[in-house]
Amino acid sequence: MATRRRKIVSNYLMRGVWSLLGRIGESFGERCRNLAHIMAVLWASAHLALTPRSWTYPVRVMFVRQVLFTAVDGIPASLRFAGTFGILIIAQLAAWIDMIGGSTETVAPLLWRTVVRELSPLLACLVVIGRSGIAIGTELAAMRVSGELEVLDSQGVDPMTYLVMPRILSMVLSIFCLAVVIAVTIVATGYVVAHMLGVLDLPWTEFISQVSRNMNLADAVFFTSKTIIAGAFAGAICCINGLNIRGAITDIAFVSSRVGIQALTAVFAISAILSIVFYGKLLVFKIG
Amino acid sequence: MSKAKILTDKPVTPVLELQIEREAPSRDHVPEAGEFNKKVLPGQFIYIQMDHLRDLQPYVPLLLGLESSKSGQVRFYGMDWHLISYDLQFRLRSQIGRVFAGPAWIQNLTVAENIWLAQLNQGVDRARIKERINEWLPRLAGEHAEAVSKSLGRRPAFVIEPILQICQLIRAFAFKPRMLILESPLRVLPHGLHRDLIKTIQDLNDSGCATVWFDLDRAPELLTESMTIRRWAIRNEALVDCEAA
Repeated sequence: MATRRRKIVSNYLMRGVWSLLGRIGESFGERCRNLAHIMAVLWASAHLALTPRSWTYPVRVMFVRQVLFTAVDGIPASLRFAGTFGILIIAQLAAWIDMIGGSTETVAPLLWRTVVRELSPLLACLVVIGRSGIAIGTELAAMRVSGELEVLDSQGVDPMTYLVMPRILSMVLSIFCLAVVIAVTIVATGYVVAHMLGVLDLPWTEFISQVSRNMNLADAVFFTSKTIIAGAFAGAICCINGLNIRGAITDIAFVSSRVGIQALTAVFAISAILSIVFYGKLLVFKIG
Repeated sequence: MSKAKILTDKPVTPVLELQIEREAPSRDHVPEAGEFNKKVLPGQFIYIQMDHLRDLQPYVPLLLGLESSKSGQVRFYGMDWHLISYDLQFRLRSQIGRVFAGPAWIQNLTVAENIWLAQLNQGVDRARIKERINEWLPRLAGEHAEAVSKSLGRRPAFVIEPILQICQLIRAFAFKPRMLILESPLRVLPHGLHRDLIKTIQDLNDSGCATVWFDLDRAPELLTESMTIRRWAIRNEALVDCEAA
């Protein structure tokens, strides 16, 4: 009797384990398919962007509008966030000096490196996804639901060239440019506030040369590749989610929320992966 | 020289060739089941009567190569839509004028931008496009030409339907289409323009453009008295040739 009961329990357990493994496998497969889909869209967009014939007048207009909306209109929000972060960084600088007893000259370079390597690309991604990424997903979903994609297709206008490629490209360009704006603003705000509070006693020229001395070519390569890859993935995720909508106009709200979460998750994951690949470290831990 | 004479002199490439295997719905015997094998020649006019507007959905995308037929093929000027490159597909579609019964406009563009979009995308010069529109505006808009001109700078959501319908006709007709697909084109068109529209279609057909007209009603008298039309129909969701039946 006891053996039989044990057998039943063990059967249940095994079934549970198999079912769990099955779900994990399904979820992994789903993620692999999504990744393949994103890579396909990025490949097609890169191919179209490098083909001069794709750049017809309407595509150029669409690209300029997207850059204006995503990058230029995003500058005030970026400045606000970066200014606030500059103040936070100085507060941290002061706290670290109090805690570990180092000098401004030893602690400041570490913070500036963090700003350029990690904070400014991430902040730029947050601004662009929050302002434009969700709007792009929503707009494309609305176009799909209201039959506008068929209108374009029927007239011989390729939606991939006209709608998707300029949006992805504008997100890449915007994230790169806004990350530069944010990095410069954080450093400048930080210097001004620190100088006013008496935390930093260096003249501006000395401060700038100190910051630039602490940057090297690897940082520039890392910064550029991070902003480009994160921007491309964020753009592709926003477009794919918008265009994949199935259903009615009421489903658009669902797409909007999903776009934001998925794009941000991808950006954070890419940041972590690139940090590991470039510096061989995850936070303070050496990998390999 | 008559059209019949031209047709006998040399083989004419059909504008459309349809080879569709129609599946018999399971519920009852359907005479429409079997293969629908037809050609549409340049200058021909096909009138397709349907029971519901939803009947447009499988057939118009099929004719335009937007969707593939599960069993059969559609060729446009001898080219199977699904065996040619995407690039060529888009170029060929830009030569087809379509008047939509449903959504017809990109809402975040103005009406004028909507009219220009496909042509600009094919690299047609802006001045040439404006010239064509100015040429076709009085012809298709008649006494409404001024109202149409005023609406060109507005977004479609702010323009009344009859004016939008005229703008759709301009978009479809003005750039020398090789085929017209008209979905209930008279539906919201001001009554006074019906005769002008049919005359215009006739002129286009005479210049070699094929026309496929989908509608819920029987062909209007205005049409039958002025043109030779071939009648097809969509019955039980299947395409049938009424003259062969």
